[in-house]
Amino acid sequence: MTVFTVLHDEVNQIPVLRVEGEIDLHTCPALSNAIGQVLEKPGSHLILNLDKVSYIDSTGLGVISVAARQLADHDGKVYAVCTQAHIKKVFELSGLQGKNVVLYDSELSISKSL
Amino acid sequence: MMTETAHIHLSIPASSEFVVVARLSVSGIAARMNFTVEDIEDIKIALSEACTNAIQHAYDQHEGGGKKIDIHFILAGDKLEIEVRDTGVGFNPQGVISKKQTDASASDQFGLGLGLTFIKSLMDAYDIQSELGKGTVVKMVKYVSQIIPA
Repeated sequence: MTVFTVLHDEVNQIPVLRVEGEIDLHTCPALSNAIGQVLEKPGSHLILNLDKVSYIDSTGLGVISVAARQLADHDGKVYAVCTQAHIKKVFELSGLQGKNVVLYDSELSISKSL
Repeated sequence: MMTETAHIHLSIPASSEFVVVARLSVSGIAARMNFTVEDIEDIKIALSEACTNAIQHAYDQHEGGGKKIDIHFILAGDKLEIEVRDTGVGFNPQGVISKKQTDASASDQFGLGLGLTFIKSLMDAYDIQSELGKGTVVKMVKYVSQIIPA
């Protein structure tokens, strides 16, 4: 089993969190903390790279939704990178996707669009 | 087709680090029954949500030891039945089902109140029995998809 990790980086001054492993009840506090640290600094967007996330459920979506709501106060959004069909499906089912959470295929396609 | 019914029982401590154990177990069981990779992912989420609910809601305010989740897998041909049982606080099922999603997201717990929504949409059938002070049983069913020959 992959150990859960969150790596913090920046692309064009936009914070990027690269997440690896499974996001569930046990690991989502770590994700929540990592996002919290990033959002302490002023900024409007957050890139969440979920390409190496093998599992996500409502607990992870809850954390992402809280982040999106916080960012929305400053007209910011969560840009999530995910290409795996079963992860995308969870976003679709949640109804979270859209206004404040946008899915992309790669970090490059996000920086091009901003 | 396999017609004999197999019964597998898994009992996990009601603690977040064991949800992955339930998930890995059902992944193996579903693979054994020839579920598709996509269906296996759906079942993993549904079972995780049921376990998460038990940990966060049933046992959150519950004092004393013996906090566990009993999971029964019944493998009957192309039908997988999963029963998730806790002995926590229980609730009024009608109240929870009719409760607005936004209420849950306002609390400090993770999950948006989406757990039940996921179980409903990812499984073929589900049922919740709960009694205040006694606990909750979530039953869910998934059938192996029939591959229609081209």
